[in-house]
Amino acid sequence: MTTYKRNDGRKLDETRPIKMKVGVLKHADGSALVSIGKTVALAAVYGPRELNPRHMQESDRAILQCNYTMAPFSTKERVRPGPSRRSTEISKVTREALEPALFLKDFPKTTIDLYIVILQANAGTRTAGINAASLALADAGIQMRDLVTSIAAGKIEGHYVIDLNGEEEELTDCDLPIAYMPREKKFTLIQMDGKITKEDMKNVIKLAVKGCETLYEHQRKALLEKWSKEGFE
Amino acid sequence: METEKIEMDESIRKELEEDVMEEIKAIQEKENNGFDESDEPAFEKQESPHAAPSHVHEQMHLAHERMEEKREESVRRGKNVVLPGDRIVESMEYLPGRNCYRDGNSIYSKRLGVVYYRGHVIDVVPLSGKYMPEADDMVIGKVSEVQYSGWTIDVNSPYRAFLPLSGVRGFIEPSRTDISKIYGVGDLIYARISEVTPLKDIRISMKDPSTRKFENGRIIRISPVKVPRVIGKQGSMINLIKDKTGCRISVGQNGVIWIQGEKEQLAARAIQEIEEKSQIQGLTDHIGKLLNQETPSAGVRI
Amino acid sequence: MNIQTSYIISHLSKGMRLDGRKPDEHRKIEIEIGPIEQAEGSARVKLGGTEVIAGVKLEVKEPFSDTPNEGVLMVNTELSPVASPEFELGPPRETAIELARIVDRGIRESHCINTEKLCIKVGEKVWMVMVDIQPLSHEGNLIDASGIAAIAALMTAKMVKYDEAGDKVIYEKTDESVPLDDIPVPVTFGIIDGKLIVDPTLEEEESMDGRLTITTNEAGDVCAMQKGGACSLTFELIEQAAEMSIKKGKEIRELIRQSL
Repeated sequence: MTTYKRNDGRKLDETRPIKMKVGVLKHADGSALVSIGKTVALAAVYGPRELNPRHMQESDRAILQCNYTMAPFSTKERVRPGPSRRSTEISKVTREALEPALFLKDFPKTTIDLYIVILQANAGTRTAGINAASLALADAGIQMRDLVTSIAAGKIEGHYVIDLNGEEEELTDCDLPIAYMPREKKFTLIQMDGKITKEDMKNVIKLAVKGCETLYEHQRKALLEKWSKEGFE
Repeated sequence: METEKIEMDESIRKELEEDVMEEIKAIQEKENNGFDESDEPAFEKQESPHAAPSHVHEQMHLAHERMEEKREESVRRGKNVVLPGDRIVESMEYLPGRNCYRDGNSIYSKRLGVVYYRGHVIDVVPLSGKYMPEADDMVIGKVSEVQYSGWTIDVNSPYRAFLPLSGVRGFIEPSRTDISKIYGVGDLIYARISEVTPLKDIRISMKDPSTRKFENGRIIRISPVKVPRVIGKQGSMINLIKDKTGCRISVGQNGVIWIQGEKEQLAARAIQEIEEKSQIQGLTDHIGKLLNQETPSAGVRI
Repeated sequence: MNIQTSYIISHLSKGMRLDGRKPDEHRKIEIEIGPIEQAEGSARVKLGGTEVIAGVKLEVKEPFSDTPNEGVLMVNTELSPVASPEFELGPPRETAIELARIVDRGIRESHCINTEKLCIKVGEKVWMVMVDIQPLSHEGNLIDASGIAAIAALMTAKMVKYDEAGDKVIYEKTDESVPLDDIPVPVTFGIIDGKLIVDPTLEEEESMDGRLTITTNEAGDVCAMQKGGACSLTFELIEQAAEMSIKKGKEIRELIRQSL
């Protein structure tokens, strides 16, 4: 089989350039900016904080509220402000990708509010959002089992490729984003669009896990960059 | 990166444990060789003025303290910043204390923080996060609501506190008193957390003589985790600021600070500097120098 | 009166502000051009601790029937929760809508956009210029930060292509700029204890009685005004604000030019 040449010259298992920065927002309790290629995701965390209205409170745990938004100028065609079916679904799966990593019982009755804004979109916005959100939660000092990392993989012309870019999303047989807790080796987000064999599916997931491990290193680096100096007495 | 750090933690831990075991062994040998209670009173043999019931116990305690010192030293070298999910030790001999959890044989951090050992208990001291009320903390709160039976107080935490009428000095007959005259919405008070239930119902009290209502001055807010830095060892830092500025300052454990005096701006600037540069070496000297300047060099956010 | 307000007033009586500024001083203004590659034009503005991103997008629309040969401007702002713990999700409320309309009015009424040049086919197709403002940090005076970001983004915006046969926009930037003839700049004053303070911070906003925004253009004309807050103003105060807004507007206009 001939080697597949990616349109941006990357190797099959190479992610786009990754930049992560923690503590980018002044007024959030925790925040992070993650760019993967041309996709830029900003995450802000507030909390744990008082939850109103009170009837939403859970007496034995905190709730996580998550909102994913695309800035109107983030795409080629302007995004209409306000929730869409797509953004509502992404908000939900993002919340459910992060909840398994949180010790919500440590803060009964409160809420942890997470806001993700996609400032620029070029494929992989939900995964970039989850990476940023995980960093923002850790930055805010929220009790967590592990960081959550996230990336998508796919299959183009018989080759497994990681971190699809905008053009590749059009070519791939499947788009399979995952979120993953590296320490426990557990998946917290699984979605897939496309049609592939069971074997392909397994291989695509394995490749995505490899990508998550790379992202995890970036996440650690970003957090320690801000916080490691604080370790001095 | 992670593996390397864990190995470092592990090697320090082993080294320290060996030290401790050796010391304990030495003490026990000393104990066995010729300790006679009828001959000499126990306290004469002990180095510590706080005599414990048993030599061994006390010495073990000291050994653990030394171990903690070494731990702190490694913390000083900046090695012990842990992230959520980082393994702290792989051992059943330790117990997870604050902000960490056990999974299998290992203890992991729940939070971004610094590892501290209290004997066999491991704590992660957070580097960020909200103020969580604890009984006996002194806090600065803002009255958010006046009710029939007391006041709801915002104590800069996820949980509002309640100040019952019974938590105020003197007897109040609510049907005859306009209690908003005592504390009205927006008033700032220095109060003691008197009770925290497991479901996080928080009660505060204004009975303690140090509690008070603030009538003037200004309020600044810092990250609650930085409060110990602002106070300093035995209050050294806050006393330095008070001495140099002549200001009256009350520091709430919840990160809210009240300042009153002519050089309020300078005091506020110093506190902000401590918050920003809490990690630098020679912080006290740095703040001392800053306070010796007549006027603040830059603006301060309230 | 709470202790913060009385503290601010007592300092102001000595001509001082909490952050050491004089009453007629802006916080430090930083302008970064083009942070959002994908937008037709964009700018990120820091006004002290307040920070916003403005992005310009173009679409092709049918013109309004009363202006069949003119393109359309739209300014939109949402008070995004990322910028402040006080901001909530949901459709824009009056504060967000007022903010957007103040920025919009300054740009529209200065006639800085040559809307006739945005006409593709009279009565049928015109360009619609949409300026969206995303606040990142709210530490007071979002109006000026947004106004500066909006005009800076517009000044750097490039036209994209329109495929008339297929009736669709091809999002490829051309060398042609969005037609702009002027640089309107809003200057906002806080009004506290009968005095004006330029560029109020969040603390000052919490304590002030009201505000006045005056947008001026290159020629030093006033092109939009808005009073906010339940306070009353004297004629003298308005006069004083107008003078100052022209002077301050000039300084900021220069800053914007330098950043391009």
